[in-house]
Amino acid sequence: MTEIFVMFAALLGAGILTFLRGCASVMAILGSVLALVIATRLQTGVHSAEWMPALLVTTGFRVDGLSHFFVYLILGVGLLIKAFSAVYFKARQAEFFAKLAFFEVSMLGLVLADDLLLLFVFWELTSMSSFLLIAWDRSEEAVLAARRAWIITGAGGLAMLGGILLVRQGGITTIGDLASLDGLALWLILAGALTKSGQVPFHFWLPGAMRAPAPVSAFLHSATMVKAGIYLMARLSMTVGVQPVLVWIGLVTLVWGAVRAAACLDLKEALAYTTISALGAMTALAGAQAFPALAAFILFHALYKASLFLGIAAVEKRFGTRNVHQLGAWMRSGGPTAWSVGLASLAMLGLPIFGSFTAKELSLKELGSPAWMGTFAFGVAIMAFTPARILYSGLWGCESPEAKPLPVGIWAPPLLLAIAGTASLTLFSPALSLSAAAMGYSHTPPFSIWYGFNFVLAVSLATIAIGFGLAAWDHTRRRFILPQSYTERGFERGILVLDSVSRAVTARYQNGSIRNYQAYALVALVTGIAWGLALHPPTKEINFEAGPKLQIHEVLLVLLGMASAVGAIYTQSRRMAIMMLGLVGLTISALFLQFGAPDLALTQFVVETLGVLLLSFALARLPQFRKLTSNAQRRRDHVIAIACGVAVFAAINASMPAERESLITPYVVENSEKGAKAQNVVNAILVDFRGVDTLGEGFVLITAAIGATALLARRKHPKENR
Amino acid sequence: MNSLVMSVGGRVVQPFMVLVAVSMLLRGHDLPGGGFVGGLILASAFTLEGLIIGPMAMRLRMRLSPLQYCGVGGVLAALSGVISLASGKNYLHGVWVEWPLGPAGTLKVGTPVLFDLGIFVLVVGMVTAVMLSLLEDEDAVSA
Repeated sequence: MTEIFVMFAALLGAGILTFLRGCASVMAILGSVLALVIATRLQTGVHSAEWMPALLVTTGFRVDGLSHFFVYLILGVGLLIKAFSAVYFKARQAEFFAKLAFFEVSMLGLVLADDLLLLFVFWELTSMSSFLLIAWDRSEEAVLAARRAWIITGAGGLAMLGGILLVRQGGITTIGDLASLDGLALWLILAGALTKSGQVPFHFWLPGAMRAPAPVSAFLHSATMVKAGIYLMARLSMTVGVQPVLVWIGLVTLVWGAVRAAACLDLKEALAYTTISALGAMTALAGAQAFPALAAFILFHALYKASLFLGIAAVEKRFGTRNVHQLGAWMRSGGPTAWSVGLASLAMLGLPIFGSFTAKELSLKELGSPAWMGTFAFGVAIMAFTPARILYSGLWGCESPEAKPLPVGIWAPPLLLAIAGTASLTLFSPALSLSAAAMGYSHTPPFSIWYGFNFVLAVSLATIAIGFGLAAWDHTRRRFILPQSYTERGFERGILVLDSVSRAVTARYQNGSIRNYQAYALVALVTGIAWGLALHPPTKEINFEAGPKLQIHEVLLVLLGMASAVGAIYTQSRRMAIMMLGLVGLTISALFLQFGAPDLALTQFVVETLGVLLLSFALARLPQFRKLTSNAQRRRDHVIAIACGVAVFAAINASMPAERESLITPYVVENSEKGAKAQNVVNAILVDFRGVDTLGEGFVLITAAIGATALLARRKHPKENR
Repeated sequence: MNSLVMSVGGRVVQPFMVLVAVSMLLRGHDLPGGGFVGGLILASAFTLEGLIIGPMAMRLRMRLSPLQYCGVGGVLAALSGVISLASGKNYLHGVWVEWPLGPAGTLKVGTPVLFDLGIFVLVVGMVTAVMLSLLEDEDAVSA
C-alpha cells in the first residue's frame, strides 16, 4: 500500500518539480527510475484502506502477475520515452513532463486498482491526460482530435460506470470479489474497454489522437493507454468466459486497421492504423481466453510499436519527411536509426527468433476455431504489408533526401526498445507466465522461441510472404489508395447535427427575453410549492395570535417595504426603480435585525448595497425605459407575481411549525460553544458544522465569477471570440 | 468617472471600510460578522476605488486578477479542511490552538479562521470580478 503511494508520489513529485528551471528532464527521469526501483518491491496481494466508508469505496489495490507486468511495462517504456522527450522537445519541457507524470500515475492506478470505482476514477484520469497531450500543440486540428478522443472514451467511461454501479448493486465492490458478470453490466463495462482500445466502430478517435507529438503517440496511444481496455478484458476474461462476439469485434478491427494502414503513405499514420489492428488482435485473444498469447502480444507489441513510433520520429528529424515515397532508400545510409526501425519492422513482421514470432505462433494456435484462426491470419498478413513496405522501400527505393545528424537521445531509446523486442523471450518469460497465471491460465505456459515445423509455422510464414508480396507489388505499381475514413467524418457530422438540434431547441425556450425566463422560473416555483402543499397539506391553521405582538415601528417598516415595492413597479425611471428595490431590501434587513438575526441583517444590508451598485453599473448598457409589453402580457405577469407571493407565504407558513420542533437547533446551540469554540452560532454552522456546504457555495461563487467575466469580456471584444 | 466629491469622499471612507471588513472577518466567530460579510464590505471598498481610479488602474493595483483572488480563496478554504484531516478529525472540523496572553486574554487561532479568510478572499475576488467587468463595459459604452 505504502509502496504504491510512494511510487505515485515519486512520479508526481518529479512532475511538479520539473517546473524548476532547467532540470525538467533530469527530474522526470530520476522520478521514473525511483518508481521502477519501488515497483520491484511491490508486495503481491490485495492492499486496501478505507476511502469513503459510507459509500463502501476503498482505495483497494491489487498487485499480482498481471498488474505487476503492466507496471513494469508502463514504467519501463515510460523511462525510455522520457529520455527521448528530453531531447525531442525544445520548448515547454516542464509542462510536458508534468502532464506525462499525470498520465503515468493514472495508468499505474488503473492497472493496480482492485476497487471497481477506484478503477473508474483512474480510467477517467487517463482519458483526461490523454486529452491534454493530444491537444499539445493547440492547433485547431489537434484540439478537434482531442475532443473526439475525449467524447468517445468519455462516453465509454460513463457506460462503464453504469456497469460498475450495476455490479455494485449486487454487493460486489472489487474485481477480486467478482464471481460472475453477464448481460447488461458486462456489456456496459466492455463498452468502456472497447472505446478505450479503439475497437470498430469506436476506432476513429485513435488515428486523430496521433496528432500528438511522437513520444505521446508511442507511449499513450500505442504502448500503454489504449491497452487499458485490453487489460480490463484480460482481467475479466476468466469471469465472463469465452465471448464469440468479442472475438469477432476484435477480428473485424484487426482486418479493418490493417487495410487502412496499407493505404497510408504517411508512416506515422500507417503505424496508427496498425496499432488499431493490433488492438483488435488482442481483443480477439482476450475474448477467446488465449492468455499466454495475449500476454506475449501485449508485451512485444508495446516494444516494437513504441520503437517504431520513436524511430519514425527520428527519421523525420533526420530526413525531414515521414512519407514513405519521399523517404526513398533511406535505410541504406545506415546509422542507428536504420537499425532500430529495421529491427522493429522485422519484429512487427513476426520473424522467427523475435519475441513477436512466439506471440503470433501462440495466437494462431490458441484461437480455437478455424474461422477465427483464418481471419486472424488474413488480418496479420495484411498488417505485415506495412513493415514490409518500410523495409522494401527503405532498402530498394529511390534516392533519399539528405540526412542530418541526430543526437544520442533521439536514436538510442528506439534502438533499445527494438533490441528489447529481439530474442528477449527468455528474459521476459517469467513475467509473461506470471501475468498469464493472474489472468487465470492454469497450465505451464508454452513460451518458446521455436515450436518446430508444423502447420502454424507455415501459416505464420505465409503471412510474412504475403506482406512482402504486397509490398513488392505496391512498390512497382503504387496503387493502394483508399478513400478517407467515413466514420470520422460521420462523427463530425453527427456533432454538427447535435449542435443544430440543440440550437433549435434552445431557441424555443431561451428566447432572449428576461421577462419570459422569469415567468418560466416563477411559474415553476409556484407549481412546485403548490404540488408540495397538495401532497402534504399543512396541518395547522394560521395562528396570528401565537407570536409576539407587532410593534408600531415594525408595522411601519413593513408598510415602507411594501410601498417601495409598489413604487418600483410603477415608476417610469429605471434609476428610481433600482433605488426602490434597494429600499425593499433594506427594510427586510431591518426586519431581520428586529427579529434577532443580526448576521442575516448584516449580510442582507451589504448585499443590497452591492446590488444597487451592480444594477447602476449595468444601467449604462441598457436602452431607454420603454413600455414594450402589451396590457395582456402585463396582466399575465401580475397574476404570476401575485401567485408567487401567495405561494412563498404559504410555503414559509407551512414550514414554520416544523422548524420550531427542530432537533437541530438545540444541538447546534449546545455544541457551538464547546465543539466549535464559537459564541456566534450562525458562524459555527457556516464554518464548522456545515463547512462543506459553505465551501461548495464558495465554488459556486467562483463559477459565477468566471461566467460573468467571460460573458462581459466577450461583449467587449466581439471579434476576438474564441 | 470624474467626480471630485466621490474621489475625496471615497478616500475618507475607504480606510474605515477596510477596517470594518477586517474586523468583521476577525470577530465573526463570536459576534455577528464573518468572512462572507467582511468580503462583501472589502469588495465594496475595492469597487469604490475602481470607480475613482478607473477599472484598468484598479486591476493593476490589485496585483492578481480578481479570478485569481477567487482561486486563492477557494484553495485556502479547502486547505483549512486538510489541516483537520491531518490532525485526525473530519474534513473541516475545527482545530484550535490557544495561547494565553496574560492580562490581554487568550489568543485562539483555529482552522475556521483560515476557512473564513478563504471565503473572505474568494468573495472579494468574485464581487470585484463582476463589478470591474461591468465598469469596463460602461467605459467602453461611454467612450
